Amino acid sequence: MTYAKVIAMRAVHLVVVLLGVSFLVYLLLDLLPGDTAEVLVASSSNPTPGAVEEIRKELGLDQPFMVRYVQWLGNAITGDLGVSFRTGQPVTEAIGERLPVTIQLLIMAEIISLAIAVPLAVAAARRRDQAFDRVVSVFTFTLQSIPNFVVSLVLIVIFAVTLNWLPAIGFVPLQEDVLGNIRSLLIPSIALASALVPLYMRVLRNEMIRTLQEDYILVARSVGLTQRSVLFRYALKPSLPTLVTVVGINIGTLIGGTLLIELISGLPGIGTLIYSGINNRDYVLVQGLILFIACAYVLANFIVDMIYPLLDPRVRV
Amino acid sequence: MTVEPILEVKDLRIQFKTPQGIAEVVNGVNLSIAPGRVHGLVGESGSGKSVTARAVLGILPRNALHKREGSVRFAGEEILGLSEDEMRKRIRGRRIAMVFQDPMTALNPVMRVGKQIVLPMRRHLGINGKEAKARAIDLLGQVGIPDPEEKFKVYPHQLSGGQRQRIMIALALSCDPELLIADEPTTALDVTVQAQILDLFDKLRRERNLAVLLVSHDLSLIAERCDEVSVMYAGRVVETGSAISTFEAPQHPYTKALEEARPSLENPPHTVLRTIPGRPPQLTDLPHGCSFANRCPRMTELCLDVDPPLEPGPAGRPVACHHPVAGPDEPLGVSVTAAKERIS
Repeated sequence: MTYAKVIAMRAVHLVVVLLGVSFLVYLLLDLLPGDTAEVLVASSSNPTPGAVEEIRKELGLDQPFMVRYVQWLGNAITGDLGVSFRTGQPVTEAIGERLPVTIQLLIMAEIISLAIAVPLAVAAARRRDQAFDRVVSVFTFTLQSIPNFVVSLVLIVIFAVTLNWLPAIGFVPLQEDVLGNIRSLLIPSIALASALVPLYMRVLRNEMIRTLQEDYILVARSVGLTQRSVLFRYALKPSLPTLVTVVGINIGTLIGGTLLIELISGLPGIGTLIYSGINNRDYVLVQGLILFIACAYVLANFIVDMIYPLLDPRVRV
Repeated sequence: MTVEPILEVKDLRIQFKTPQGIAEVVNGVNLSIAPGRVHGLVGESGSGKSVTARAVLGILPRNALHKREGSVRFAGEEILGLSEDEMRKRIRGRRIAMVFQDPMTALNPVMRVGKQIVLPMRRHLGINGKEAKARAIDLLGQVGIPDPEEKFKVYPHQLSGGQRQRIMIALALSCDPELLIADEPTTALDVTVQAQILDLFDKLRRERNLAVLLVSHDLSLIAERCDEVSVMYAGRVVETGSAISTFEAPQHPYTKALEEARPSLENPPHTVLRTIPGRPPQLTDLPHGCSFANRCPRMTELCLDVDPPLEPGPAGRPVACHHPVAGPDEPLGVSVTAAKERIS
């Protein structure tokens, strides 16, 4: 199979998965208790008799489920996720406004996690079962058992409130002030990374230990390469595929994690948008958001799958 | 004419930590190799031959104990006590190189073969990438790889086993070493490819005046390809000397038994092969005396008490045995059981 064929097959797979996801998202919110029309009427200033029926008709809620789903899906494909009940803003527009913040947060969290986890894992694998490895293991285990919103609060207390080095809450757009922007996202991204570092580190450490037992590592040593070369040029690359898988799988958890973290740090991202959507029973908004996130997750994993052939030439054939 | 040996191993001892206790894997090994000669190290699995080979390069497994006794002199310099850093910088790959058994696993699967050859050259020879590449392509040609420029760019899985072993040899030779250690270099290859690889060693040895330490369990291979040979048993060299005389007139009962256990084309069909009864001793619990005693038809009480030293035997070559075989026609002895009964 050629690389192009592999990608084509994965792409077909991707479309099927996305269809399934969209159906489940629509079904789920349809099954939730509470009638959207009633909620809207109840919250309006002067409800009139028959208003509920009117709104139902207006929103198309009187149509059968499958009809509504197909309509909604057709619109979604063209980029129209409907209009928020509350604000009257198109959902796609709302996502577009909030998305850059969340994406930047996610990218920073991944960069920080990998920048810490990779060297730590390599060092621990090299000193396997020695003091350093044990200390790192205890440290990361402890870190993993603390929820990241707690980490976030602790960091805010230390670095924002006490030391006053970083802002406690708020967001500075990138276009306004690059340094200020990074500073405003530092605490939330470190908090998100705190859950990922232990995981990445342990996965990579174990893979590295396995790789270091391979014959070709002995060969690398026998030709006199430096320890650094042996570890980073010879052993790291063949150890990465599992880490890549774990990174992909955890994108979902990470997106979930942003919800609380964005709330705590007052970031105008997707997380706070979902939160307000749920609070306001703004189903159209929530539906659109969940569909969007599910697509992002599936797509991210698709991209991750495409990384394997770059790491291992044997997959490329 | 005596030539200064390039490698001289004296009384080397290496121990391993195992769940069963301390294993004495190498137990006083002596070896000497002159430039341009091929020295065979032969013995069954677990006799310590590979560990001896790896000890010369200082690349022992993790569970080897740090305490290493004896001496390994290379080109007149003691290298057993050298630091990791010194070994890496001056010895490994630079002056002593190693070829491993399984070419399927000895090359990094995710790195182009050319780069694997270039890396040690850039480190040891201080040349730039372009020079190293030219040298690597030249080397690939020398070790008999067709289309060296094309093959420089491929990954190991795109090559056959024989070609990978040639790549491995090119990698080992990349920095012009003076000593090549080949640990079972053809065991994983087809018989026809074996012969080609061994011919290649021979050619390189002649062209470069390279000393070769050829480690193998294959007696025929050692007899055919080596100038000198050392026979190992339970971590010791039990007999050493020129390959021809060692196999034509073995002095140690173990060598003799090995010879007799070797199938020959001259035997009529269905001849039952002779085997050596018993098994090698536990390395965690070596006997006082000769470690071969409990499998030896010539065993006496002396053998159980005193470990025989490696001294010149009846044929003039060093042998570690109290009762060496005097000549090629002398029989080995009746049986181990008979010998044991004689003692009690």
